[in-house]
Amino acid sequence: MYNRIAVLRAERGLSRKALAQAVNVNFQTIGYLERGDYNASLELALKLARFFDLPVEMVFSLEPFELLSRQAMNKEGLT
Amino acid sequence: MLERTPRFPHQPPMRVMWVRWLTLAGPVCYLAGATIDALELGPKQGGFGSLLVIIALTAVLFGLYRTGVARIFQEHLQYLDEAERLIRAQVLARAYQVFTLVIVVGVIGTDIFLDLTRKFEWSVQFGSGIYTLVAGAIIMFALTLPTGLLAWKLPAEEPTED
Repeated sequence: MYNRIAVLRAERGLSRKALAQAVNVNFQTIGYLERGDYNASLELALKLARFFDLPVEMVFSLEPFELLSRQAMNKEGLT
Repeated sequence: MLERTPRFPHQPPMRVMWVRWLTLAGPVCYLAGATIDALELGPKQGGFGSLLVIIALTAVLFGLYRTGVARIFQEHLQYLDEAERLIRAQVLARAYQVFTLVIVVGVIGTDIFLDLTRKFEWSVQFGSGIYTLVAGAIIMFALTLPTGLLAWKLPAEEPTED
């Protein structure tokens, strides 16, 4: 499973510890999620999606996410 | 909301790599000490081997309990998050498999050894102290195996708070 937690966290200027406290896990678990060492449970995935105020499929995916830069270029018709 | 206990409540964490080496060094020192004592190789009978055994036990206990690695087994389940609970369950299951395998192989190996050598009492060959050494080794192995396996399962570099 793939996720955008690292990107979303960076966008919001959050530390792993702050995000971990918000969803009630240890900060190491956020690190494991970001590195792909651990797949979140449905409960944790929903909590993270709610925290970022995004649909869960915007945070987690079974397929690799398209790069944001590529998405932006596609949106502006630059490719 | 339930507050999680900190991973390293009293001191900075020991690196997982160190824990890994300790889990290997402890049993090796214990085995060396026991062999020296059993075969009476030391400069002073019973002294050098026992010292190695004590050093091994101290190193393992200090190493394993100073680090937060042991916390995953010591902490009550409600204070662990879902990833830690999963790791604990997986490692305990694997430790049980390994421990069972080692004991079964050990019992069969001992049986064959005794049959081949026609010695029905270990104490005849090695003295009565061999029972204490074997019992100590089994207890140490059982106590440290889950933490040792966990240290090898966790990533060597743990994520930082940032």
